Amino acid sequence: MRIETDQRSSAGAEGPTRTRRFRVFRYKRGDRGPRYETFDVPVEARTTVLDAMRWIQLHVDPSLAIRHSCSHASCGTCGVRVDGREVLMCVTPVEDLGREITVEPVANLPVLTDLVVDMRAFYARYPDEHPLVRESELLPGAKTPEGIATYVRYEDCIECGLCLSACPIAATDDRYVGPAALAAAERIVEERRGADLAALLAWADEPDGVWRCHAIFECTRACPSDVRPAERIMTLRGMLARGHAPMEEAR
Amino acid sequence: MNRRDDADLPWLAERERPGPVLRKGAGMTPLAWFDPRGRALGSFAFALNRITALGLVLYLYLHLGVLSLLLRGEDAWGDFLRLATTGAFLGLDVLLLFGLLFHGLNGIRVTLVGSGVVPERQRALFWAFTVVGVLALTAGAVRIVGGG
Amino acid sequence: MLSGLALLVLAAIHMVAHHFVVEEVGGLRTYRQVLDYIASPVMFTLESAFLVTVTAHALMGVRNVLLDLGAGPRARRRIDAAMWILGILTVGYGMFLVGTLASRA
Ligand code: HEM
Ligand code: SF4
Ligand code: FES
Repeated sequence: MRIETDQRSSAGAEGPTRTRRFRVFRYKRGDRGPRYETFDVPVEARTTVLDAMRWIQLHVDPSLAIRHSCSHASCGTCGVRVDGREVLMCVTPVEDLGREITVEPVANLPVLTDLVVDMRAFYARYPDEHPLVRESELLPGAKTPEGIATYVRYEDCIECGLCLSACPIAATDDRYVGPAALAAAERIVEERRGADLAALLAWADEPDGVWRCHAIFECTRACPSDVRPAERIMTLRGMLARGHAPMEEAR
Repeated sequence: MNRRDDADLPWLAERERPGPVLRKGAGMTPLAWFDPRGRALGSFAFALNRITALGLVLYLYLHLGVLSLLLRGEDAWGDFLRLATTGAFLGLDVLLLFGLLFHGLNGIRVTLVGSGVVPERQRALFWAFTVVGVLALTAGAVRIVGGG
Repeated sequence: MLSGLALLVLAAIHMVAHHFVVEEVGGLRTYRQVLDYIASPVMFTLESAFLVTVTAHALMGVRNVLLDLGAGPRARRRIDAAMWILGILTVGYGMFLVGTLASRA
């Protein structure tokens, strides 16, 4: 099979399609345990891991379950681990990877099926009493367009769960609140918008909160959205250490 | 005094659902701390910090044990000194010095970064402290082995 | 509870203490030398302070490693108790050691 390529935009990507071998993590409810299945997938210069997974769905196994939506790194649904590193499938070119590519769901969250994890265990880590997606404030007299009741403020975090997957402490301690939630808390401290700061800081100032972090910075490296969770955790700690909030020292 | 109880950790309940949870490490979960695959500088520093820390704790108790020999008088101590100045033992001393230096310097780095003083510069600090550490280790090794 | 901060502060103190000790060492070798060294009130105090801080730091460190394994509130209380006991034993024995040695000088 030969796939026509657009000569203008794919200079350097010449010749017949090559194939790459994908080792994909498979698990369905009721299975004894997970297994890995291999697929040989034809790839081109700009094929992404997401393209490859969809190719498998279309041509080999429609039951391969994945999550994705936007295809341009803004929805955060397509987070997986490729060769052990946390990435968004939609912006990870196959080109840069090896001959055999291992694709697994993110770590430290329960797998529902194949590459899909149960994100409830991720969202449940956010403190309920501090809503993290906020409405925008409008200038006096400003109006929203027809049909749009209000804008919701965009925050950097795309809730992909990659940071939690990358964290070696989250790997051993399920009680740890994790990078994303702590980073979100720091974001609120930065711009509080009526939040109850003392309560929020008390929430963060817990053995399972900022103090469980060991400044390893894997979360910052994993984050595709430049949230830099580790730096934010450190900043929170600094605030707590300097007594910007009720310190609860010795038990 | 608010201590978190499991009831307050809703994601733990989610964890009870069927479905495997992928972890790093080979087999045993704590090995995730020391699993270098696909990890960056920070993990390496953390893993080595933890290993040297546990090594130092072991040494602390060894040290206390050895010092007990002092209680048994001059002869026991002299015997120990002869053993302690053999080549292999001095090698262990250099290892100890490495452990102390790495753990101590990394500790200072973690303190600076971890208390929010310089939350952004952890990598630069790591390499700066590495230079200091290597110099100190070399000087120390020369003194130990060279009978200083 | 933890606090990681206390650990950090302690580590700093310990650093300072440690530095003093290292400065003063300059070739502790024989039995006599060690006894004379520990008998000096300054060094005695320093060594004792050192003992307490190192032990505290080391045990908090071990506690931290254990907590990273995901200890719940109950396990945490047990670990705390174990660390306290071990700490008191360690410091107790250490003090006995320096004390005895100093009195022999
Ligand atoms: C020389 C000065 C020292 C400094 C500045 C220092 C600093 C630190 C710091 C900042 C940590 C926290 C690391 C983290 O949160 O990941 C730590 C952990 C630890 N330290 Fe030290 N330390 C020193 C000496 C020692 C000694 C002599 C011992 C053993 C007797 C020791 C045992 C430990 C242990 C067991 C841990 C826990 C390890 C971990 O959490 O991974 N430290 N140290
Ligand atoms: S902080 Fe970054 S890595 Fe973590 S969930 Fe948000 S976008 Fe993903
Ligand atoms: S599909 Fe939206 S981030 Fe990848």
